[in-house]
Amino acid sequence: MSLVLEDERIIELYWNRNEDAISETAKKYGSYCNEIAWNILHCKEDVEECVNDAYFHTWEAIPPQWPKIFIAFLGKIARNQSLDKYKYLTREKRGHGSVPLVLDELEDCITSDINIEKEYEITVITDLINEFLTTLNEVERFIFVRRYWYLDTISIIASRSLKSENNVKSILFRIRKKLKATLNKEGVHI
Amino acid sequence: MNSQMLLEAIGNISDNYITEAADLTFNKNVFIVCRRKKLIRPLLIAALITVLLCSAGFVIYTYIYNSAIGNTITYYYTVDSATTSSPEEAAYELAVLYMNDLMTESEERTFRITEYKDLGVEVIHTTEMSAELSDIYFLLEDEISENAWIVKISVSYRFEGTISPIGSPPPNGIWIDELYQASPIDFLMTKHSDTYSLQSRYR
Repeated sequence: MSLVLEDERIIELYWNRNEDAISETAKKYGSYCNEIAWNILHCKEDVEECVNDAYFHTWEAIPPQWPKIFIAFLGKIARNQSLDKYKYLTREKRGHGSVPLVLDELEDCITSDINIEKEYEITVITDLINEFLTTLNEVERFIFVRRYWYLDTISIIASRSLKSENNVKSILFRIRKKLKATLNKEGVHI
Repeated sequence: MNSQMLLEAIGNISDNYITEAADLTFNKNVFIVCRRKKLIRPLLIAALITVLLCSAGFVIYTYIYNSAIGNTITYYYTVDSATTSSPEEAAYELAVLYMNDLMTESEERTFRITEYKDLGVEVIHTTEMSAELSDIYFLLEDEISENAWIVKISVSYRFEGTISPIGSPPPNGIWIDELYQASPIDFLMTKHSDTYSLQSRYR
């Protein structure tokens, strides 16, 4: 039976520059990272490449960093790697996966595509979204994060949340409407 | 800004939200709670319907399957020929036999009288009855004679089990003062030689 190390122990391995850190990360969070990458890329080879890149970037980032929540830290790296890869592939007209659909949906939250105001840095928007997420209940938040962070398909979210697909769609629609109102209220017309 | 940037902004949300949505145990618990909440109302309605159906069933069972007091056994009381005994005295002794019988366990009944008091009898000679009253008591021609009486028994009693149409014993040990013969036909007492007999007119 293979034991799974606590996150603290894995981070220690990174700090000690012990290469077991990567195998332990893969053992514990391999499927988690694969799922994130798969939702974006939908291609086995691309997913493998991105997940390996994510491990490499984690190796590069720790130290000096000591992530408070290792799973989120790793997930963000895997997601960013996958989105970068997606951008590259779409430039080459090879895009697929959930991203186009998610981007289409997020268009709902945008009032004007003319306004490209640099003062609204992504961090500001992120702060607003973080605040917005506190106003949602647990189920709504789960569905929102699974859709727009993990880029899960509607059917996967429906199955995870024990709801019908139509129900999930209508919840997401309401959340987007609310998010748009919140962002507009804060003067952010994205 | 465009949706691509919004997606990027969402990518930087708090680690807690990412972890919250990734934690399968959390998800399971949240949705089980949600599903429970969702199920509470239908479950309550189902429970209410079940209770109502059971209550209705019990009432119907009590009403249909409980026996009335209608005990049609014939009781006999033989008087001492040396002494004079009135029909009233005989009727009273027979009423005692009747009540004592109802205090014994019987598979024929769904109840047992546990105690009684204030036992009294009213005796009406069948020959003194009007034709109308005779009809009320369904008296046959041969029952209208010098040796036949209608006996009305009055008594207060307590019981266990269930009696139609009362049902279960009333609370606080309340005394029941109706014999509930299922009809007002009372008892017929007849006399043959020195022996009186008493039988309910209940059919």
